[in-house]
Amino acid sequence: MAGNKAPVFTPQSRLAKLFASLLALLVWQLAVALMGNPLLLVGPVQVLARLVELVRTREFWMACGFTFSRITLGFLLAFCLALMLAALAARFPLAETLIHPYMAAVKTVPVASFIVIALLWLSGRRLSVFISFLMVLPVLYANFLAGIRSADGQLLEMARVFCMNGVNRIRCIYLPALEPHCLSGCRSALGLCWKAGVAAEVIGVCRGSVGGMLYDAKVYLEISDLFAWTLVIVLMSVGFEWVFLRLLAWMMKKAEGC
Amino acid sequence: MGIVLQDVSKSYGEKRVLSHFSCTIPQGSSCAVMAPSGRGKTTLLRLILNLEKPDGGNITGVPPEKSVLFQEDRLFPRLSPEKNLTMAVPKCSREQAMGVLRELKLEDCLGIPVCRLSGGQARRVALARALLAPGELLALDEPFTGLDEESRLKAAQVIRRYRHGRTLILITHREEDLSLLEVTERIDLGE
Repeated sequence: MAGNKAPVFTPQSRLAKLFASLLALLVWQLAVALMGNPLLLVGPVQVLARLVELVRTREFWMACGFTFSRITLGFLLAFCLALMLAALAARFPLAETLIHPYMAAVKTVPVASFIVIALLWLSGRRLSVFISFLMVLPVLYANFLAGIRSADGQLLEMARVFCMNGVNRIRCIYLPALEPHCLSGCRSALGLCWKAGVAAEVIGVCRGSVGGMLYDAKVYLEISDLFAWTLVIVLMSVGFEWVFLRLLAWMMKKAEGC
Repeated sequence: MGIVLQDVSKSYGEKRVLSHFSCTIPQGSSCAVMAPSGRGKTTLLRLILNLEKPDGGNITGVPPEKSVLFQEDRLFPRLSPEKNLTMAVPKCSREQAMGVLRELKLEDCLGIPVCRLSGGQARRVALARALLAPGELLALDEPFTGLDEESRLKAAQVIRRYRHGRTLILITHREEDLSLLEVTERIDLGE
């Protein structure tokens, strides 16, 4: 039935998004042409060419590995602690009250302040773990708590009457309730985590990290390097988010027993 | 002895649902709680199951292990019928689950998430879970909701087989359900 076919080009279609991306690249190239100063702005082709050069070096992979491992560690630590705190807060109202000021403080204090304060306690090499951990903790905590609280009351009542064991209650009642909140929380937190983590590396002048490379590029006015490393951060962030969210959704469904 | 309710009262805000209500449900008996909709049948069951506290009066003799078919199906929507049974009922094996589901004519539904089943099929899955759960008390709140005549007769037959001498409390507003389940005692809340 031809009448039922979805239109190929809608604002949400992949083709439309690809077109919009190509248009953005064109606008970027036009801006480069208008500015005419390669010390201030370079075009997408030069950035890509510089990235290809960087990829061939050992330092590139070392820096990527360093930053990836630290930011991922910070995120995973925050994930575990947020889950534990949310479970505690959902069970004991007093725990939620006691946790609230810390979460509110972390949410409102600017990331730059935390980076500067943390620099007094930690070396630049450890800073990105701490900052990415700290920035995503309240986001994950709030989402996990909302997820636990959204568990179906009727199912919980049924579980009580049938004397379901704790593990099965978590698998069949809490995990399905937690899933949408957990996935949307992680989606928001992952972007934030990379931004904050790299900012910490830049401000902390962490040598051998992606943030450190960004800092060097700025100091030596290597504008193509600056753009190339920025592209690397975006690619790592998007790639990790894509893999992590799919893995998490799969694990949650498996644990539920689907 | 059985389950004894003495002078039980329950209100929700200004609305008094049960007022100084007393009755005894002998152990091993089958008892129907009859009343038109909104007269406190489900409230009475919830009080017996200790899911709510009465405002006044006492309820004694309720066994610690109970199996219930709630007014709502209360199933795990993403799990299959057999998983719903084995997850909710701790001592239920997969074979037992498959057995009772087949008896309730649900063999075509095995392996399918219950959110994709019809209302009648989901009701039978919830019934299967109640029948397999251990406990001296079997409470069924409107067990035949959404079932056609043939399924209703089959379900009644399976309930009678799986009752195993347990105390049966049937919540219903349909007279014909009483004979289907061979109910001997009757409590009328509508009077």
